[in-house]
Amino acid sequence: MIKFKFLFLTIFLLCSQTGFSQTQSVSGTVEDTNGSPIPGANVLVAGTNRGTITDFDGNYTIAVSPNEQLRFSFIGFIDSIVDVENQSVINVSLQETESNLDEIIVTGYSKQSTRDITGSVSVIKSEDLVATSPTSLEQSLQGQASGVVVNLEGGPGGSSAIRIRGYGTINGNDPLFIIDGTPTAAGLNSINPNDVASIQILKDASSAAVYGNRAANGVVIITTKSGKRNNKTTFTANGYVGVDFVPSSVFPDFATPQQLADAIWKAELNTTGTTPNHTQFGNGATPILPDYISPQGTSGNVDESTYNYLTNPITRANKQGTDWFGEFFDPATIQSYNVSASGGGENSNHFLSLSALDQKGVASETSFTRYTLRANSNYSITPSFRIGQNVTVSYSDRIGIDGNQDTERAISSLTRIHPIIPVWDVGGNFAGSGVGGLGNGRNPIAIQDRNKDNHDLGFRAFGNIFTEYDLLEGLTYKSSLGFDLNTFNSSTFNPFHKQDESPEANSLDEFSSFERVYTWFNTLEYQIESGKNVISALAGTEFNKRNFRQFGANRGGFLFNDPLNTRYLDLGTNNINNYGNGLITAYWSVFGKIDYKFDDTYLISGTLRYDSSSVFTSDNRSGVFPAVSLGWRASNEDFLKDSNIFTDLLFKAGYGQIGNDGTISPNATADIFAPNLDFNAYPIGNNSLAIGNGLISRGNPNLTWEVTTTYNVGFSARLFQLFNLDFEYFDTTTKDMLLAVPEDPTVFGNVNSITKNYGEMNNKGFDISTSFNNTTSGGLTYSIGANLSHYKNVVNFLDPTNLESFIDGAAFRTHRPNRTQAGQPLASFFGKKFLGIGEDGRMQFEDINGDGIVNNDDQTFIGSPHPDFTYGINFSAEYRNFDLSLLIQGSQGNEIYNFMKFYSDFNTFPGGKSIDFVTENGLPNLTNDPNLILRESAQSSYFVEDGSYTRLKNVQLGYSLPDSAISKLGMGVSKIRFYLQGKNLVTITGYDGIDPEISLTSFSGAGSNLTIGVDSGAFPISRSVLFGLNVTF
Amino acid sequence: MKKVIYLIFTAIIGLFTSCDNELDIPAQSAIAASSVPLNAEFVETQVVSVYAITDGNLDNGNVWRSAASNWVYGEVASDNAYKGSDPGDQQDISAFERYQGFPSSSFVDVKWRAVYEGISRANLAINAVNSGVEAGTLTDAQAKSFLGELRFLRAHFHFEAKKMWGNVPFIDETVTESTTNMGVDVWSRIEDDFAFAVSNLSETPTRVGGATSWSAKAYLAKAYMYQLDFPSAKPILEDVINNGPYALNVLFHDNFNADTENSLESVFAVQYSVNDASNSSSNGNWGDILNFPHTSPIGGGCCGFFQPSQNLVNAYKTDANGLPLLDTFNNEDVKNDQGISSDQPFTPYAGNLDPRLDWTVGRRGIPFLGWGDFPGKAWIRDQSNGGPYVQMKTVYSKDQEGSAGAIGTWGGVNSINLNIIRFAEVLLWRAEIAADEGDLEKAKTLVNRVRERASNPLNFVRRNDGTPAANYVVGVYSSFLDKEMAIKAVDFEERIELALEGHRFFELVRKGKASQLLNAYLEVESTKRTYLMGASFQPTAEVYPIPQDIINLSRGVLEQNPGY
Repeated sequence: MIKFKFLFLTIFLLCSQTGFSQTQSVSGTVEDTNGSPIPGANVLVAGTNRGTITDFDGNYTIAVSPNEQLRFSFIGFIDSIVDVENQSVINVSLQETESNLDEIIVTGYSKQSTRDITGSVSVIKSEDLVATSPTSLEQSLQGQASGVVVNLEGGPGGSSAIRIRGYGTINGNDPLFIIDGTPTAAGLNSINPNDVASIQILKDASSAAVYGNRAANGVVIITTKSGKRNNKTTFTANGYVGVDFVPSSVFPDFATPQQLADAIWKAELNTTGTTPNHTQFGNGATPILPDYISPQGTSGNVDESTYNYLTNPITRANKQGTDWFGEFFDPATIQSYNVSASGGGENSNHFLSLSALDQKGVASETSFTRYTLRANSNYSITPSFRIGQNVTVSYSDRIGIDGNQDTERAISSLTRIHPIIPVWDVGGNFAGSGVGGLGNGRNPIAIQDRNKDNHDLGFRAFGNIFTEYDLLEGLTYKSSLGFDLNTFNSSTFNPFHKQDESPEANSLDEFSSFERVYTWFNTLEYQIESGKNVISALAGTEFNKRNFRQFGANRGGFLFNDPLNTRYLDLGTNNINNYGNGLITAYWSVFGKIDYKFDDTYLISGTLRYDSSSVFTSDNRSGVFPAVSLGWRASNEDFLKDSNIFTDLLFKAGYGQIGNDGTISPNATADIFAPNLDFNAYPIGNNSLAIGNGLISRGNPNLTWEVTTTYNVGFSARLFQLFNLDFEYFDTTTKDMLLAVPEDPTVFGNVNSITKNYGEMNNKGFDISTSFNNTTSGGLTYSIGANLSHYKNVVNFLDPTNLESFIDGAAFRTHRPNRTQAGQPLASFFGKKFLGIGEDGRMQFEDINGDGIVNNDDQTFIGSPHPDFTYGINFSAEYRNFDLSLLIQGSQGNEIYNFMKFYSDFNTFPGGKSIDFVTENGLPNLTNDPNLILRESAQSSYFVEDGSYTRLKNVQLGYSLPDSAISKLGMGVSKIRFYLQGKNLVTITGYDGIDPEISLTSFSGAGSNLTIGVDSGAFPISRSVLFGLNVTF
Repeated sequence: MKKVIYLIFTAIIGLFTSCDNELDIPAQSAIAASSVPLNAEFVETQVVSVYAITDGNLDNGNVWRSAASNWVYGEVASDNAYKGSDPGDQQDISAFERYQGFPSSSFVDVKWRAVYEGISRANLAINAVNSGVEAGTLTDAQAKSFLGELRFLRAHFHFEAKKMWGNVPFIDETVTESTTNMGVDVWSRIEDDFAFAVSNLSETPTRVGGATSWSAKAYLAKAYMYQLDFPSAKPILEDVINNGPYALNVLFHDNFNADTENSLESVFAVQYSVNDASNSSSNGNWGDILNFPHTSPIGGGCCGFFQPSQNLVNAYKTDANGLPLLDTFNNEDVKNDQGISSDQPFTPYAGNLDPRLDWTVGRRGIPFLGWGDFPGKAWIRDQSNGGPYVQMKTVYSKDQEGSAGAIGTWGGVNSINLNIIRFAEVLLWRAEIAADEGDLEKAKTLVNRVRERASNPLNFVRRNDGTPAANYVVGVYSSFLDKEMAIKAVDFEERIELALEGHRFFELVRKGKASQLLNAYLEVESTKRTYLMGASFQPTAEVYPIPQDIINLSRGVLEQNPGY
């Protein structure tokens, strides 16, 4: 098949040899519709490789024969073809592409007009990307394109996950990112959003198939900016400053210390009919809030001068109650600056950009700082030989939240810690729950304070160097060597402290990793136009190798806690540990693609890709994956040609397969032994070990590609010259999913999971997007866009021989709310069905199996984290010097498992409780009976809430200084614009937790897609008010 | 130009083959099974990995569910102890304490996984030994020694499974798929493995804590004791007691002291270490990580679980002759500090006591392993829930802080070995057989041998000034009046000698006494611990539920125990 394709190419090459006849000289000017000259436009004799480009004033001269045609083209404009005949002057006015219906974009190693795309592709333009002043590129995609859901982790520098058309597999669901031709899976946090010219999202297999391995979850193609040739260098400076905050209105209503104490009394009375004897609140008929919680439950005077942090801690009671949420969240500044220069000479162009972002976190002691440098340039050595490079270097420094979504760490502690505990004790040290009787919630301010000098440092160099050579007219060879170098270092010091349960020794953890990835691809691209036939063909190869290595070390026993200059491993004296490991993977691919268009009306596109991955054994590592798509431009047919309704109407259908190596371990094909000192070694003394080698994973040599097959049908329409409408329906099935299948531990022990090609998952749904733009006679230009997406995910089966098999998501205490099982969506919620509070004051649960007893056998599927639909609405308008843009984004019908209620609504652990808990409003009567508590606080639909929300993601009002004012300024300034912006200012949701944007619990690692929509202490998305300035000179 | 194209095509085709070869990348940072040398050096490390899992520690994450000490299944689920701590923490344990264990509980799941992981490792190593012999990389002598140890360990893990769940499958090195757990004669397979170990192991261990022919004999006898097969057990016990290398330690507490581990009294013990080369002292006793006095400086002050029952404390009362109150011990409570703050005065119980109490149970006002007098309420997580006592047998002493005790990632661990079988227990088994046979003299002699050690004043807990911390009065039996009294005295001695070592529930079940005794216990104890109200013991609770997840993973081949 591959050879066949090469043959095809050769035939086309032969076809392109055409003859010459007598010539004449033609000259003219190329202008845009406003009459401004277009420098650097291509002027080509159609069907030949003879051509020229326009000069600074848009002028050209070329020798042609009268029977030939001239083709005028420039990026961003519609091509114009003119018959030469006997004209000696041909002036052309090129029409700008008005909408993204006919933009030239990158769709797969090559460029294509959006007008001719028969697969499913969304295009996001640079102005829409930066309109939201995103701190990461992922953020900027939120709400912008149909079928694209962006899950954000709150907090400065937080991770994010892009999901295209649902969850295609149990494995990695991240799309493949292609940045200027170089693939990466490492995320976009190190990319400066201002450097991006456009983003294309390939959503279906027929468009993504040419990228092969890792493209099954869609492809996000990022093209960074470049300078224009024959253009003087222009400078652009952008900057904004602002404030991030979390409004107190989202904080939950919590019970006061008095209410909590009363509840303890009531619970004991309800349970035993007696009054309790409480460490802090006494043993009388009613509880007494003490003046001091350390010494325990002391009322009256305490000689505070005897305070000693270790031996005599003294902590006053905060009888009014500490507002932990309010203490924890504070407004924080954000500032972002970016300067870029772009331009070009006759034979080269360049783009250079520098940026700095400094974001303080709304949560105590968090921050993110990022600096980026980008240099893109492109040189023509001869008219047909070009070289260039796109390089970005970025450095980031993050102090994150200690344990996002971790039930033991900072955010969850806001709920868990008892409000009678103050932030500080009388000696100015952090107070804590170790005083007894107040549970084990930790002081969240203390957690963050101790973390405040623990930096996560990232350094990344990413880019490619490339060369292009036009072998013949229409035939271009391209070779690109891409690289992605990543280093990461974190240093985590945990100082000695004594505020929780007991004194904790100090320790230092150091971690470093280094990753180097290179990708070398070579392509041959051929384009030919003959009469009504337009053909473009591409063939290429790609080799990618990834080498990753990490190590970590930790020590305890540091003599000092505080000076930062003593936080080095050498100064630790005990618990000396270290570890290190690594992996190497590679793949090799060959691919070809042909696009054929007849009469601008009938389109067909075919792709074939051969992929071979090192994670499989040599017998099973290669796969061939085809894709084909068809298009029919009905608006060109006679019956619609003269229609006033349809300016353009394209029906399209696509089918494709993509192989995915599933991000499985490169060791998954073999049984693996390792001398693990923790779990395979055996003591031969109080402090010494004999080394043991144990099986650490079981291999399966038969593993091969998991294959995603997509069907896509839809249409693109442009109506009344004003209104765009796109609709697509898709049906995607992933077969032979690479699952870690647990086998019976009775036979296989604890190392019982074996990766297999097992399981099948399906996503069906539709994407709709529409836009409308218009300019009124009064000079108001505006556009409205909306997109809406729906997917329905279902796991067809995990184990074809056992439909009852399931995989649970992460555990939260005794809960494992997410379960993945045949017939249900991925990571559905599982538990007992809560019916209400019975007459006995107890929670009632449905007896699902009808055996008369309600127990854990009565668990069933109780909800889904997947939305019914997600949507985004864009509005932008310009009037005179003012501009306004709005973005509303939302999700409807998804559910959230609010695990924090396990702490706040039940008598599980002493600590912070909801108002409903103490008032027994909607909750069971207070009790101390552990069996009732266990039964009622177990996982059930009580914890499942509607997670729908509508959020005003962005509103921005800008004002550009009038030209008259700018010209007075001089200094070459061509534009000055100010803006005021608000982000996330309004959220409409019924969700009880602090923020409804709950997605993955963990953004990396195997199994991260098995735990979705659980709120176990998630950092909320902050609100922002920004003031910004754009200057061009 | 055509030349260029030709060159490019040739290059691409050349790349095709050379790049494909580039994909042959061997396993990184691990050893692939196919490249393992099956020689004595490597197999030795595989054998070590089987011993390594005797601690039940799969991942430092859920170890209390699978603790080698069986503190949940053997002690909390008996008359010896409560779950302790806060009501809400580790709620599943409350269900076991009330004999309402359930199949979906992660506790039984992790325990099952840990036990069968041990069996899996043993089988893997047995196959490695057999392959090594076949390949000529191991000698027969080397194989004999390895196989003896491996089959000993495989029997040990099956023993754990058998006493936990009753209906369990026996997995040997030939089993490759799920197999039934119903109607399997597991005992005889366990006996076979121990018998093989007896005849293939040497009398002295080849490694620290390693199995020997003597420990295999004792364990074989234990298997017979669990079947109440006294005729089979008796000669083996006679042999072990008379000819074996074992003796009682002079000091009772030496059995729970990291510095005196692997003593003559230790027949087979799980070895622990801390501050070794591992992360977070993973080879320490993580199974009991939750069982240090709460808010104390010991073990990270975590987390106040596993609190001895009032009933157990009462069992250490003695009469004027220093003998236990076999029938009336629970009529009156040993005085305790329930409801009394640590800064309020309290005078401990002044009646006669067996000193083993104060090496087993931490109670207010009594010296606590060098950490000062136990302060009572201040070191109890929630007295109103778990009562006034803490367990002591897995707590390290103050002078061993840092050597035998360490702080792991979040809690404290220690390197005190865990006794699976110690010689005192062997003596009492033999006494049990004698009592059953009506050999009252023999029974009395053996019980007294254990009591004599306790009565040695060296075993009294003493204050700094050398005075005994309590009124210790321990004496030996002058005679057993009848068989009934002999059986009762042996049972009682087993309880107070071995209390909180993980045996109690299984002992009651094997002797058929669980139902009667535990229901009686619950009736009285629920007046002291209100959360026990309404609890009762049904005979179906004699075995624990087979974990539901495991049944599912066996695709229904494994079946649930009746009553769950």
